[in-house]
Amino acid sequence: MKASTRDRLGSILMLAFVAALWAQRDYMTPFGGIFPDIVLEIMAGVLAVTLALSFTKYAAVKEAGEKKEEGGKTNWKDMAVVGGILLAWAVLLQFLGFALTGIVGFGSISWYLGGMPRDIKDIGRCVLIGIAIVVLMLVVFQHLLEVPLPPGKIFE
Amino acid sequence: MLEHLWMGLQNVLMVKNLLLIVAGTVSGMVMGALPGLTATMAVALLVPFTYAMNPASGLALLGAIYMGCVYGGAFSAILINTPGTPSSIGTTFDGYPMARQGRGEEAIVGATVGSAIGGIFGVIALIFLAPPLADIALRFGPAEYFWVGVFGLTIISSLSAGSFLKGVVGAMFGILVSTIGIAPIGGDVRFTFGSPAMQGGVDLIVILIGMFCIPEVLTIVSKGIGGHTAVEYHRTKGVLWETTKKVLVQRANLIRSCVIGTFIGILPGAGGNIANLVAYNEAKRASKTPEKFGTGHLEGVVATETANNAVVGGGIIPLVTLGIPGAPPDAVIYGVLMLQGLRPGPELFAERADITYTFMLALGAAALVMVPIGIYGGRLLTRFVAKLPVRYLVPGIGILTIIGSYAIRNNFTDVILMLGFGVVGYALRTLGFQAAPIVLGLILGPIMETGLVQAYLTGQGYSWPWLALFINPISWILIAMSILSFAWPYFGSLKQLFQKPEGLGSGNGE
Repeated sequence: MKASTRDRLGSILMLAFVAALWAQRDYMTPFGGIFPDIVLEIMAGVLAVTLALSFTKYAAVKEAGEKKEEGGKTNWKDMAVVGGILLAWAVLLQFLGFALTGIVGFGSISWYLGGMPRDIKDIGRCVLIGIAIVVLMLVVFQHLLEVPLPPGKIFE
Repeated sequence: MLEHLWMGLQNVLMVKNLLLIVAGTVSGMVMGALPGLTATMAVALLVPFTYAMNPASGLALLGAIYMGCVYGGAFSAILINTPGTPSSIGTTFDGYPMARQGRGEEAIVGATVGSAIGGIFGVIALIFLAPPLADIALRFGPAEYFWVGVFGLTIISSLSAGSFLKGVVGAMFGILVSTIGIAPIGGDVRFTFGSPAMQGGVDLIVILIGMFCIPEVLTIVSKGIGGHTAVEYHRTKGVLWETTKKVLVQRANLIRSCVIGTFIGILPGAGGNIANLVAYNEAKRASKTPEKFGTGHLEGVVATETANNAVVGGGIIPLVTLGIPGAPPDAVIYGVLMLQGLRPGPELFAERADITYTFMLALGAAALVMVPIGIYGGRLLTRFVAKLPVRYLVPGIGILTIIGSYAIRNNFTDVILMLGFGVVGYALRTLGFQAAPIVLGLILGPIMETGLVQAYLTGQGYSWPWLALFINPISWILIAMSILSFAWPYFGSLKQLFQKPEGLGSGNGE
């Protein structure tokens, strides 16, 4: 992505964030808004400058001085699958508990990232490693450190 | 004082206490290395173990855990680009690139030696400088804290690689996120979008884990190297002595970082999370090769790790002299002192000096114990992570991020928020906004807001209430420091403009 495009896209997204917070302003006391309002105003100003500069030489100069991005192509598919599994893991945590989501989450990511061709027999090994990791975490956190991990609503 | 020091030394050298210090340091290091478990949490988690102990042993154990935990954060910062504790944020900047270049062992050894030196310096300062330094910190009012925050923000000019404006925007984004929830003064509920779960605000650790771990996980996955390793490892002969020598010759960096860590530790509310970033910034500014920072430069790792361990001793100074905790884990130690029937403050030196000095010397002993354990344990860990295929490393980091974000408040929303901030962090990184200024804004936001609003309230008697921000001479010193700090990178550019171009071969360092 070009530096100027990044600047424009980044500035617009941040301006949307500022606008969303500005619309949420509903202070009950005169003190709650002093600090965030000042920051919102300054941020909007800085973003306006960044956006304006992205249409000038400034962005072009920066583009020339930029380092080339590391590595080759971005593997969006793998990223989406792993991100999706992590999201499902987080959402299901309170219902299925740490142990079950941990085993399934760990097992599925490690199996998926195992590379092509994906072997169905490999699932057993990934799940076994997942069980070992989850047991280790339960012993360390729940028993040694006494940090409670969620058992899951369906098991309560 | 010497008599009490001698008594404290005898206590520390008792076999039982030495074993407790070793156990505490090791446990602290393990907990520090786990993302989401902060030093405060680690110290708090192990408080129940001290109930049955005498005060000296209990405090020796807690001190060792604290010291070990702050150091342990460097392991995950270096190996998986995830600061184990907020005190190691700056360590990721150069530690992780070093690990990716196969220099993980060098980074671990550098962090270990720096941490030990910083830890010992902090303890020496604690023993000898406690009363006068605590007196200076006590003169800081709300306005001074606001300016301390502004001074901290000027670090952006150094942290924002690429675009300064984007660094400023990132810091403001962090500050605004820190204002979500109940206002520190007035109790207004702000920016919650109607969600009751957001009323408590967004926890710093949740954002830290999200913004540092998840983008890294996504980046590793996006490269499609599931069967390979994420971190390289090259066995280097003599890395221990070579790196130790490289660290010890950085005298100015070590002294500067020690002083920064100790001083920031003394300021109530400010801890290793700020000290490591300030020390990194100052090391970069003073370096002859600032362009190497962020690419895997040992000086950066040494600066951050020296400063964050110096905070441990520094933070105890106001605790034992004034009864004010310097850093959050000190608040837990404050509670333990009270539990043991000891009243933190000047009486501690007068009435139970033996216990006070045992505690101080135990911190020093923990800093020494860290060296052999950290070097050998850390190197083994480096080799392990380097051999771990990405297919196991990615879900391994995933499981730790989920536990880390959940365990802070036993809150499921935090886990979702962590992932959300992770995705936002990845998107922002792609758009050129770095995580470091955002995190800096998050840390300094609450300090600045409390200082600004309190100063405004105290200024109600003046014709212009904001005048309260400029009345104290300390404020002016801080303003001058902020301007200097902000403008410093531009002095370099101006100097280059006025310098004559050097001939070829003159700048090769020979």
